[in-house]
Amino acid sequence: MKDTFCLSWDQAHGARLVDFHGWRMPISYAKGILYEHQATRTQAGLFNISHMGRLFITGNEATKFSNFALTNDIEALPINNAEYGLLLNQTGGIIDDVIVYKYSPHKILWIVNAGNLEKDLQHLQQLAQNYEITIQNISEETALLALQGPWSQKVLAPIFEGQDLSQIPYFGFTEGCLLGRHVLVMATGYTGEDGYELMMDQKDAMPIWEQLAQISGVEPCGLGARDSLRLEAGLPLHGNEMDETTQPFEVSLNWAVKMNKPGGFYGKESLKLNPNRQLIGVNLVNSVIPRSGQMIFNQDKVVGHVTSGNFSPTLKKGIALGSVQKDNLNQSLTIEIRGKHQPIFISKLPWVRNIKKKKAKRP
Amino acid sequence: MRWDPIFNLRKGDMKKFSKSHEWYEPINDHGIRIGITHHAAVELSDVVFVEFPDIGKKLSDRQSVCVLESVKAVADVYSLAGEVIAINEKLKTEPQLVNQDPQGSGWLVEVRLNDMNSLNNYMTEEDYLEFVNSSST
Repeated sequence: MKDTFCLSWDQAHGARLVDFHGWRMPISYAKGILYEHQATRTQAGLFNISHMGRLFITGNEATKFSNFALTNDIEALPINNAEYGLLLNQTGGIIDDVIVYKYSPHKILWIVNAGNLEKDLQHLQQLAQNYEITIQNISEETALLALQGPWSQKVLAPIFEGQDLSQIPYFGFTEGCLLGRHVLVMATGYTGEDGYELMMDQKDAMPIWEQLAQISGVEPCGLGARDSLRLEAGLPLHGNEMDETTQPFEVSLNWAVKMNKPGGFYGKESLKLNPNRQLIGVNLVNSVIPRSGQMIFNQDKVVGHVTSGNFSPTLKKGIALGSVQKDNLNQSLTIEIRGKHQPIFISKLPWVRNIKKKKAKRP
Repeated sequence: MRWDPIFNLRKGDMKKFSKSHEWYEPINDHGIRIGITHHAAVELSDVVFVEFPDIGKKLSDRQSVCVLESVKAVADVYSLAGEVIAINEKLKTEPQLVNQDPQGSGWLVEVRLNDMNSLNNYMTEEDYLEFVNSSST
């Protein structure tokens, strides 16, 4: 099992540790998932997300390569901004969903899912053969934190030397000094709140973590709250909402796929444009909690399944993301939970989005 | 009514514990109250919903009598053979009592047992705590 820089701190602070894709990570600290979830929605939550993979793609064709490997438009992405994109296999299945940060046309940081890093690297190395680029895995020598919630900016601003943080757009990033240490500050996140993700040298991670965790109003959070926050924000998780057998249009990720960009992208020719499946948000009528893997029914016919389900601390009831056949969307559907058919209705996504920052304009 | 004063006086000593982390407490000469242990409540973390059985439901030995949903997991709670005679209505609006006071006001259901002697198969609190400590190391 792999450990991050934070293990001894976690153990000293009541962390409940679990195996997450081979990483020993806290599901929560002593106060529990609900408390951490609410703290992030109302103040600021501090997350160690160093299990996620980090790659630098550098060289003359770094942008051209990233643009071909990903479904979204990385050529059009302005410098000092980030973009969400999908890495597809030859059959159009989703190998991973990633965020890329453009330092310059010749230097792009990729942040990828922990469990997919090795697979991504293999795939990228194959694609890279005809490109003038270098792929550098910097996951071990760096660490990644997230500070999320409405207080994030006022927590960070007084201890950050660099660009005025209020001027960084949503999905923008900048480099500077935090508590005297070099950091990359990215206005991205996975919670539906304004906030920042912070990348620094591995050796600087513990002093920064410790100092941030001491600030009044900052609550250290585990992966449990990260998951309930992202679900309320309607954000997909690779391995739940999508995998290598799922195509982007089947999970309503059309917005992240630029079919008309020059040069195309790997896997494009295999994409089915109008699949008979889509991702929906589901609210439960009764007080029950849906869980991933449960079946969605139209009468007695299975028409889909729950991809992620949990209790929503904000709505105080069960919510789910589910994959359903489109021609059943106007029917009254149920989820089978422990043998009972529970009525559901389709909800607009997301349930919670408190992001006030705006993205920078794309040309 | 249900509370036999003699049993009541002694009830602290009479809780029995299962390896699946339930406690069973005699409430009179034919019935028990069921809940989960402190250890189970911590493991499960925030309980947000309790799915109760209908009153009168007949249970076989080691059958699931109710389901606890937390933000982290789902857990079945197992009973001994008998019939459900009461549920803790308070948990419908305050499921957090299961975490706050699992061995007291966070009790779950009451069951009339087919055979009170079946309780003898379960551990005392002391033995249970030893079981928990030895299995967690």
